[in-house]
Amino acid sequence: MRCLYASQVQIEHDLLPLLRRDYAQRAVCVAEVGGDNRAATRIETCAPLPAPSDGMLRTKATPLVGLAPDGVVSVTARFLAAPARTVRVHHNFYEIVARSLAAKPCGVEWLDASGNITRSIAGCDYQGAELGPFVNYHVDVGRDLVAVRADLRTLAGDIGSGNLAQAESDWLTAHLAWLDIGQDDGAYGVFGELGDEIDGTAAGLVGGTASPQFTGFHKVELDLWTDRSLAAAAADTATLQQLVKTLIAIPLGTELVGSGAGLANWVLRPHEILEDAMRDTLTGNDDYGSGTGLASLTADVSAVRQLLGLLAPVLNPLAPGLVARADGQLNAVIAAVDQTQVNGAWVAVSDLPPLARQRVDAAVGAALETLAPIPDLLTSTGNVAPLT
Amino acid sequence: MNVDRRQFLTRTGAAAVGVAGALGAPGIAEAGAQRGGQKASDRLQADGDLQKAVVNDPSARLPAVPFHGRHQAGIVNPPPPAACFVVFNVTASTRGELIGTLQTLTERARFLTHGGVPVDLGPVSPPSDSGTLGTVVPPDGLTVTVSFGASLFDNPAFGLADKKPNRLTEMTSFPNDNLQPSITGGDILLQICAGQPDTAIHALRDIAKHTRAGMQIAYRMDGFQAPQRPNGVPRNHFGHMDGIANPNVTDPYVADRLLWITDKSNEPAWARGGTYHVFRIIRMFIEFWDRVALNEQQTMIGRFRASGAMLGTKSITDVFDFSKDPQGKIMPLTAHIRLSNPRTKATENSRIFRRGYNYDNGIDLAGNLNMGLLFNCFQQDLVRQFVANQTRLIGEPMVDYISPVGGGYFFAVPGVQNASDWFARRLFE
Repeated sequence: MRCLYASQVQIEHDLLPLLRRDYAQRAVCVAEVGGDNRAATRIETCAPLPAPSDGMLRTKATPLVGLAPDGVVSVTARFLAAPARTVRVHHNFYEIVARSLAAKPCGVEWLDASGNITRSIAGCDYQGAELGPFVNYHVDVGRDLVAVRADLRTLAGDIGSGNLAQAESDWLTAHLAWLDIGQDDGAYGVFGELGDEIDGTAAGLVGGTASPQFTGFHKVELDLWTDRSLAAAAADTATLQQLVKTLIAIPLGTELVGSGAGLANWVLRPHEILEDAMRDTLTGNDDYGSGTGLASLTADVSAVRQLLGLLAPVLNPLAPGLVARADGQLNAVIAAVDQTQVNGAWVAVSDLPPLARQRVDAAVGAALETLAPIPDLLTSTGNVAPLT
Repeated sequence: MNVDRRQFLTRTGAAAVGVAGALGAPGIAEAGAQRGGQKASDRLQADGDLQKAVVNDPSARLPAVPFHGRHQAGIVNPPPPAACFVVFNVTASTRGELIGTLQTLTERARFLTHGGVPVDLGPVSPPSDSGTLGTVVPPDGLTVTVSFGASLFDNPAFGLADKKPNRLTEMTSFPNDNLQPSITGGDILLQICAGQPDTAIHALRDIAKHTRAGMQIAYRMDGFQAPQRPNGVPRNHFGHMDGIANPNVTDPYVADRLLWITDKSNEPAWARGGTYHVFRIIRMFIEFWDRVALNEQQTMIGRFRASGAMLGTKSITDVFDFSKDPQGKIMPLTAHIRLSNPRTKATENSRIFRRGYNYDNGIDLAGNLNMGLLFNCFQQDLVRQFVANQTRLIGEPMVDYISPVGGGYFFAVPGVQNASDWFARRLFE
C-alpha cells in the first residue's frame, strides 16, 4: 500500500497498475492527526520498509518509527551520541522520540517479555560528520607524548649533571605535561597497563615501593624527594623514557579512534580524570615526596577542559548549560588551588590548613557532580539493563 | 575543691558500699519522692523523666548461642546485627604463656556467651565487670570466634611452625589492593558478634582486660548489618543487597566439602573442625558511586538494586542460567557476581561462605566518608576457594569504586568441645 496526498489520489487511480508493479515492497505509513475539532488535519507519510528488515526505519526526522515481529515486547534503540532508549512495542509498531535531530539510531535490540534480548541488529560505529572533532584526537595525543619525551630528556640531562634541585623542577614539568594528556592511569585510561607503569602508584604491588614493578613518574619522584638518590633517579628515568617510547610506538590511530567504539572509551574521561584526582591525589595517596599534588590537579583540570571543548558541540544540545556550568566550577577549583600556594611554592595536600584543603575539596566535589552525567549522555555501546 | 582520689580509699568500707548500693531502685524512688512535693524554686533542680533510646528494648536481646561444639560458633549461625573485628598481636613470650592466654580467653568467652552474674570481687578490687550491660550480663546472641594468623605459627618462641595449616600464609597484595601495613596481618583475629553493639563492645573490653599481658590489639573495626530493607538480604553501602548467594552450609554434605576441615582435607589433625577465615577491610568510594547511573551500577554488580534479583530474572531467588547468555548481553561477562561465581561444575567447589558486615569510620583526607565493607568469609581451602575467587575478580569494572586496605588470612580453630577444653588445645599436644 502506498499513501498519497489527496491531490495525488487521482493520479494513483490512473496509474494504479503501474504502481502495483513498481512498489512491490512493504511500507509503513504514519498518520499524524492534529488540529481542533473544526479543522482537523491529517497528514500521512509513508516510508518503505527496507529489506532485509532491521525493524528500524531511517528517517530524517524524529520520531523514529519501526516494526518488530510478534513476541517482541520492547525495543532498545542505541544512538551514537545520545542515551539508549527502550520503548514498548504495540501491535508490532514502536516509535522513539530522539532528543536531538542529529541523533541517528545505529543499533536496535529486540526484547521479549522477560527482558531477554532476542535479536541484536547492527552496531554503533562511526557514522558521519558528527565525530569530526574527535577524528584527529589521536594526532593531538601523539604530539603531546612527543613533548613529554622531550621533557624527560631534559630531566635525564640534569640528573646526569648531578643537579638535584633542577631535576626536581624538570620532573614536575614532565609530570604535568603527562597529566595534561588526560589518559594517565585510570581504569578507563586507554593506555591500560602501560599507563599504570608510567604513572601508577605502588598500591597493589607485593612489596609496595620496594617492588621492581614500581616504575614511572612516582618512582622517580620517590628517588628525588624521598630517597634523594640521583643514581636511582637516573636508572628509573631511563626506564620511564623507555615506557614512553613504547607508548609513542603504539598506533594511536587504532587505540584512540574517532569512532563510536573509541568515543565510548574515552568520553568517560572528563569525569574520570577528576574522580581519580579526588580519590588518589586529594587524599595524598599518590604523593611520593614532591608535595605537588595540587599542581597535578591543575593539569587534570586542564585535561578535563580540553575534553569538554571537544565534546561541547555534542553535549550542548543534549544538556544545555552543562558545559558552561562545569567550566565555571573548574575555574573555582583553580581559584581554590591558587590560594594554597605559599610564596609561590606548592604545599602538599597533607600539609594544608584544613580550611584551605576543604575549599579545594568543595570545588572539586561540585565539579564532579556536574560532570557525572556525561558518560550516560554520550554512551551508546555500554550495556543497558533490560526493563525490570 | 581538690579531692584527692586516695581520700575515697581511706573512707570506711561501709560507706563505700552504701554509695555503690544506691545505683539500684532506692535511688529512683528517692528522686520520685522529691518530685511529688517540690516547690516552684525546685523545678530547675528537678529532673525530667528517665530518658531511654526510642528504639532499643532491653527485652529484645537475642537468645544465647551455644559456645561448646565441634565447630566454633559465629560461623554458620545467622549473623546478628553488631560485630567487632579485633586483631591482636601476641605479646606472650613463651609457649606456656600463650597457652595461658588462650585458656583465659576461653573462660571469658564461655562466661560472656552464656551470660550471668559477674563475680563480686569485693570492696577493694575494681569491679569484675564494666557494668555497661547492667548487673546481669545477657548473652544477647554473643559469639566469640578465634582465628590464628600465619605469623603466630611462624613465631619461633611457640614452636608451632610444623602445625601450621597447609594453606595458611600472610595475605599479600592483589593488584587492585592498597594494603596499609598498620591494619594488615596479625597473630589472632577475634570476631565478636552480638545482637547489640554494647554487647559486643562489652565482650571486647572484658577479654582485653583479662589478656593484657598475653596479647595487644593491633587494629580493630566495628561492623553492623542493616535491617532488611524492605526484605531479602541486608544492604551494603552501595545500596545493594550483599550476601544473597551463599552455599547451603546447613547441609552437612555441603559443609564438609566447602567449609570445614575434615580428615580428607590434607591438613594437620588438630585443625579438623576448623576453617580458613579471610577478613578484608574494603573501603568503598561512595561519593564516586553515588555519581554513577543505576544501569551502570547494576551491570557492574549483576543484580537489580531494588529487588536484588540477578539481571535477566524477576525475583531474588531466581538463578540466571549463564549458559543461555554466553556473550554476556544480559549479564555482562565482567559483572561481579558472574566473575566471582561462574556457577559451573568446574567452579562449584570454589564457592566461599560469606558473613560480611558494613563499616563506617570517619573521613579521609579529602573529606570523603570512610565507609566500606568488612569482607569476611570462611572456607575449607584458602587457595582453592578465596584466592581463586579473588583472582577471577582482578580488574573487574567495580575496582574503581573499592579499595581493599587491610585485613588478613587466618585460620578459625576448631570448636571448644566442653568445659575442660580450650581454644586450640590440640594444637599444643
